[in-house]
Amino acid sequence: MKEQGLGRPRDIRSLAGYGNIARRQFKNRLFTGLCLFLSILVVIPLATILVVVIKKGGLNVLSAGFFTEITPVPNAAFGTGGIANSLVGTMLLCVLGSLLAVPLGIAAGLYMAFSKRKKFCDSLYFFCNTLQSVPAIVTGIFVYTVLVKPFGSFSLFSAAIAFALVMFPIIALATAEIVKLCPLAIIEASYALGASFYKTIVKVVLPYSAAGIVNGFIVALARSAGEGAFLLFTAFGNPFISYSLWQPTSALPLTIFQFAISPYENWQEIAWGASFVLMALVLLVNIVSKLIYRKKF
Amino acid sequence: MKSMMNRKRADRLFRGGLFGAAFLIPAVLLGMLLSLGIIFFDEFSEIGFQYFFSSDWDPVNERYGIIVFVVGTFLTMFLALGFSIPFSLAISIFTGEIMYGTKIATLISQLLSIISAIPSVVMGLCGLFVLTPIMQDIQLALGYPPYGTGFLSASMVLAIMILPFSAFLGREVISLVPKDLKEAAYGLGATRLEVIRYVILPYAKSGIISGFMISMSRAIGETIAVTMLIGNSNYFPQNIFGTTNTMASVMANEFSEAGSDVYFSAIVGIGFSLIIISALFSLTARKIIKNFY
Repeated sequence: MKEQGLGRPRDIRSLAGYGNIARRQFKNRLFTGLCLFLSILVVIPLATILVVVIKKGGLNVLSAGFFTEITPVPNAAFGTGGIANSLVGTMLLCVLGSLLAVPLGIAAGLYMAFSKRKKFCDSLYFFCNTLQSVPAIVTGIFVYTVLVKPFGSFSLFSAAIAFALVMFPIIALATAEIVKLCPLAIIEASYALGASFYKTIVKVVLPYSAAGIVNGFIVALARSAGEGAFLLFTAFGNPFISYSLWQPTSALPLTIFQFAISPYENWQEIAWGASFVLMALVLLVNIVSKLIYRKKF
Repeated sequence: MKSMMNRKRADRLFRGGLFGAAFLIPAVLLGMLLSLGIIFFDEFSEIGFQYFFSSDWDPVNERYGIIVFVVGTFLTMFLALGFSIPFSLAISIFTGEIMYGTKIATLISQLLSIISAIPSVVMGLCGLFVLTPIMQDIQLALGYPPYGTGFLSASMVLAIMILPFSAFLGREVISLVPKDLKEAAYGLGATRLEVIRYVILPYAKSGIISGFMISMSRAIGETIAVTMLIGNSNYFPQNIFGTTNTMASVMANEFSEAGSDVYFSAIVGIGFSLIIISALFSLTARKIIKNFY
């Protein structure tokens, strides 16, 4: 008889109860224990990182003016200076980047989920996946060549575009996935009541998938805000607080990177403090997204 | 009647807007390829074909070859993947099958999602602070020069960073294995290990592999943490602790030094190659996952 499906005949025989049962059960227990052990081991790097960041960075945050003063000059006294310029830069980037990426990402995701041109959508998925896996540093170089070089200056504007480009495919894919889970029955009910496609999307589909879309948005925001690679070529860094769209700006990951690899000890202290703040922000945002998601599903 | 017309127009406008946004995806990708490609091939006569075959990266003497960085990239990537595979598989099986749906599985998943949320620059900083001293001690004990940084350190940190991607997808596909298949195997008297080995893993194979593909493409693109840890020397690693450079880290390092047009084009060329590599990766992952669904 031709063997069907899974495994070779030898495997099937072993499934059928051949062999030493005690040994098989022992192997099974060993394997379960190994899985548990390896899974628990994940705690070690995570705990190390959390402890180190809190220990090295937590104290700096408490120093007066860490949130209100700009980054100090090299070799300034410990405890002077702060990260106000980077904090402002990161906040501006988050707001501007989200304003660009969220509407576009959701629209692209809706198109991928609802379009009837299946072949085209299939390739859109592929392009979206590729765009998502393009390294952030390449996105940075791309924005540098099309926006920074022609304009002649690094700027908040170019950084916001790069920020949005990192977020865009993540939001689009998340939206497409989540919108597909919307039951066909309620969509058809909406059509049957005479609602247009537009009304159905806005009044039925989007409210139904809101929690999932918000979750996708927050994942994208956290990824983008924690990524420093593209900032090297677009935001460049700025030792002063800048609100201008056309001036170089500072941002938390950029400051951490530049200060951490510098030889000045007071700068390294600032880098730890900034790491603490960045990590706290990213984790906070993640926890909020989890709460939103859980409430809905 | 008029409102009907208006609604149709609004609908068309809306659909057009959605299409426009979706069209941005291939447009941006094409724009990236074109803008980087044009700059790269503009100076290609200066850079020469040795770019893809030479291991000699010497901007001072205008010699550009990226083989060292390509090797460095794939070396760190495969090493990081090797470190993360046992953990990723164990977590996928543990949370997707053995303890599926229980509190402890949720807890482990949540810890993993925290790991995936840690910014790469913080990972790099912690790597520098925690891992480098340990590596220095080991290197001293074994008689190597104690740099502390190197592709081994970079791979270890990278392994932690890419773990969640493959573990999450692995858990998903393992939990999707049909119940009747598993129960049939249990009914035949199989132990859980045998069910996992002969039923679950063969069934979920392609999903698990594409999870690793995602991890790999993350590892290739990871920049900041690797730049901080790899040691940044433009040579092949001399030994297991050796320093080298990846494609992404050399871009981050030397971009600001690129004075001449040729130098700049050579760096942009690395970015161009990285786009091609990511496209190949997502193409392969797509082929594999297609077999699954």
